[in-house]
Amino acid sequence: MRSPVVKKSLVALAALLAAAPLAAQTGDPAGWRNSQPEQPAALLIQNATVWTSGPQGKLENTDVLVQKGKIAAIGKSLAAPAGAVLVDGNGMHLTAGIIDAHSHSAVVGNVNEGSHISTAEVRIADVIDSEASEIYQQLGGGVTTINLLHGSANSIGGQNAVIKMRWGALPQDLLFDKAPQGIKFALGENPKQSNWNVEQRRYPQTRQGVEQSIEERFLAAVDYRRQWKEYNDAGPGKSSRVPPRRDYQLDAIVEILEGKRLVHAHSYRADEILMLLRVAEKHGFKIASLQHILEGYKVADEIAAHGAGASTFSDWWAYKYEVIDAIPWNGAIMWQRDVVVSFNSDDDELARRLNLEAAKAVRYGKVPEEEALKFVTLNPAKQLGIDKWVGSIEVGKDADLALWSGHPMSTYSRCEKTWVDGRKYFDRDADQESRKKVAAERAELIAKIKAQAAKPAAEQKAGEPAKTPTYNQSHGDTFCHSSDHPHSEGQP
Amino acid sequence: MKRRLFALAGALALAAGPAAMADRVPQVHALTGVRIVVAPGKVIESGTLVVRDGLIEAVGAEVAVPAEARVWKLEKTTVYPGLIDAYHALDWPVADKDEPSKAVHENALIRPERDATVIAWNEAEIGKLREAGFTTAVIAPKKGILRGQGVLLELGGGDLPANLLRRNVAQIAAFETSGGRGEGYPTSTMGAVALLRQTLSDARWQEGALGALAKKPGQRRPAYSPVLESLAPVVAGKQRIFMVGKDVLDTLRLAAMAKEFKLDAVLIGSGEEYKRLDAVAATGYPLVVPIDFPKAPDIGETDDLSVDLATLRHWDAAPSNPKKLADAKVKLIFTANGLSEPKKLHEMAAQAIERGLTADQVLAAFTTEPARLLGIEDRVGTIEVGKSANLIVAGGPLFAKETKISAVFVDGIRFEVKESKKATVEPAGEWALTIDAGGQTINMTLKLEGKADALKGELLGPTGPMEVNAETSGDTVEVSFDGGKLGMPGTIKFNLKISGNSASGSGSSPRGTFTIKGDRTSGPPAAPEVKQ
Repeated sequence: MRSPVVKKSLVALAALLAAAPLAAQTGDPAGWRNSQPEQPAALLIQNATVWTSGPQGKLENTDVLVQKGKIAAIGKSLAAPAGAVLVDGNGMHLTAGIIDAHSHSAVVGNVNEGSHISTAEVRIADVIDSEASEIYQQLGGGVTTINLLHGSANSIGGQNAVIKMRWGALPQDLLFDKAPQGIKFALGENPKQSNWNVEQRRYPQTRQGVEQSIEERFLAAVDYRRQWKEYNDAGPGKSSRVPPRRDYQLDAIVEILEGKRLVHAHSYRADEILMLLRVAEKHGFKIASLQHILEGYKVADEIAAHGAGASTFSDWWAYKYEVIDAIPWNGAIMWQRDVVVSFNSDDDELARRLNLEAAKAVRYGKVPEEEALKFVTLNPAKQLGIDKWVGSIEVGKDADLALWSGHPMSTYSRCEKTWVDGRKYFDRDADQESRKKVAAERAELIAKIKAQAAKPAAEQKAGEPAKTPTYNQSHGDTFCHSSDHPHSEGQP
Repeated sequence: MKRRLFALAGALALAAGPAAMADRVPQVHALTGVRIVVAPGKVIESGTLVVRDGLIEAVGAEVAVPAEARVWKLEKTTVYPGLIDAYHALDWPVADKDEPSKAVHENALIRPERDATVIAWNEAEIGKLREAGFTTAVIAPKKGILRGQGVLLELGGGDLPANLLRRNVAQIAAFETSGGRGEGYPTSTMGAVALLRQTLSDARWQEGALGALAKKPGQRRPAYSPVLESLAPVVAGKQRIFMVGKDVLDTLRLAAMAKEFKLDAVLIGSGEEYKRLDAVAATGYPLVVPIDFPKAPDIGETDDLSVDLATLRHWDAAPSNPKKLADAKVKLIFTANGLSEPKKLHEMAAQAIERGLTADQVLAAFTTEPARLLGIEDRVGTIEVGKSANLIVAGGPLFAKETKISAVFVDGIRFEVKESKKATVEPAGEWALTIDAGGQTINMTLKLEGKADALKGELLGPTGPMEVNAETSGDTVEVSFDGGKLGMPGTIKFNLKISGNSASGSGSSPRGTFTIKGDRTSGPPAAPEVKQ
């Protein structure tokens, strides 16, 4: 039997533990359970092979100094500021954090508002799911920034949101606040509903119709802008003038016309790619990125001349008719013709290993290794208009970094640590500890349920059955794939 | 048949004579020798409470009992102030003739012009709330993005006009979607957000546009929408909007929308505020939280990983949600909305108390805090002189699983809470009954179908059969129906104690009491034979 003294000291200990502030926690599979990691005043990663993805190229035995979340110096044997956090990079490779230009992870609810042909008024930023464990899983693959896109169900989809992987932060704090605003467009089979299994279909049913649906919205936006201009120029009589009705959809389309909103366009076939470039040129703006663009190799010169980026799949094909001409050399060919090329995931799981997708640009087309790595770092940053801050390891840029156990494009390497803004959001050792904690917690909860079940029925608490939270669902553009195009890794 | 029904109404109305008055007289009650919880943290261990004409006339340890008072000796019981449910959602019956059938906004989820007074007087629901101890509630329409106007009611007897405190107490909003592919805008949460944003903006625009037109009629007239007009007070910040969240992120999303449009918002929470406590507290909006905790997930014989960690964690953490909110200095306001039965609130409250909340905090969250939120704190929420006599008579501490409520007073009128017992008879069949209301008799037929615990009942009437509620408790079946259909608004009910094929009992209409007896003329239909 326990003595009263022992019991008393145990109570005191329990009280002490209860009063102690919760230790900072990262690596939990639920977003809200993670506190934000500390941002050290100085962080020095020493003696690593540094793939800068910038003008300095690849540097052996090099140190990278981070101060207050920004890259402060790159060089050999840098002096560590007092109190700096030191990371031994000996034998390891440091790259800029991976950027995914096409993601549907971490979105609450349907990623498609496909009910209308244009839904430019809907915003992914309204529905960011800060609790989605994909964020943490992708950090484990060195990913630091993702572009959350609306799905491809309609020709003018919703507004996208570029987020940084600050696991545990609230939705609004995940936003990459300096990233330019953008919007999703889509061409081809999805907006024309070739593969929809519904009785009530909406306009359009053809590729010509897709073009006209876009053209019609731009004409409406031009007229809407005129109404507002007339109203704003009305002078003293303005207060007694009926104002135009604010239309959030046309607001977004006017912003495209004015070059303030980047267009990321889901597209596959050469003919429709050229169509969209012509529509954009007619209205005086540029397409920021063509997404998927599996026939981009056929019109690479036209894409380069327009100045659009190309964000493609490494080697997906044969998942529907309009991708029948897809080839794995697509990325390499477009890159050779001076198109800014990136490889994207469009997938919660593939996003964890985009470094290996980049490797496929070496395998198919012999793109030099450093250039291939840019397919998942600097190039997507350029396409999203955020290359001033991220995408390469250069002094002054954000310290969004991934440290790899070996060559970053080798299947034998793995990501060891990932930093965003100099804060370490992923650490493989800490992750192993966290898994143990979670397993212990689970066992404890199960034991608690069993103990309760063992009580007489009268003492049991009644209630509604526990609900499974609505998040942690897998996300995806159901109109794009999920059901209809398995990721093919086979040889052509 | 029609004639017979009218005769029934007449007989019940005739009973409004001396017999009916007996139901309401005396209007003065004295509750003596009772423990009185005057307000959270304020208790009279043994005192007297005098109620006159619906109001509390006196309360204290030494209070004289008026000679005309009906005296209730309530030793070993406790009187609490009646509870207030600040948000109770009811479904809009699709086929209800009172529901405007034609949507006036192009989107069917935008229905701000609807008024919950049409659906509020649902005696079955009101009765359940009352028996759980609620005496005041906001009844809110349940479906849509902009759902319509909530109504503030006392939960007394009679009908809506007799209990109405305030119409248009709040607009109700939530991010709801239409369904799936091909079912119309919006099919996504972000679409619902966009639609709410556009509609609020349109309502504000219409106010400005109509104002400009009034100033200068010589210009193109903007389209006018009564739907948008019904939102004008909301977007001007002059009318409350209750924003109903599905989970904590949804609540934060609603709060952001309220901020964007400077709305006078009240957040109706989800019960998982603990996950993002600081952010919820920082919104600054009043929060009404459900006191609905999940039961233990079914883990089977072994932990087979079929129950995910998130579900286990929520089961464990949910009962602590109120305590955590209180510790984060969020004013607690509870709702029983979402519970399968309102009366479950007592055992749920007991769980919250087990996790560190005090019984006084629970009581405040169901009385003084919602009263303050709704601006009716001078009327209800405590047992003080001059306030409405809304009271609960309980056998012990109110927030415990075992507590029995024996009676509830609403506006000084006493409602007995009957304990429901397991059925010992099967009342199904056709009953020929005779009502005796003060000497006048009338015959009628009651048809009951189904098992004792799930009875369906109807009175045979002129416009086809009239549906009635029928519940079995022990050897007695209790029948109630809306007297409105007989031109007598309010509830008519009677009980029948069944012995073999005969039954007898008594009942009441809004205007009086009567006795009733009769026989079963045909048994329940035999179960169909199973062919081998």
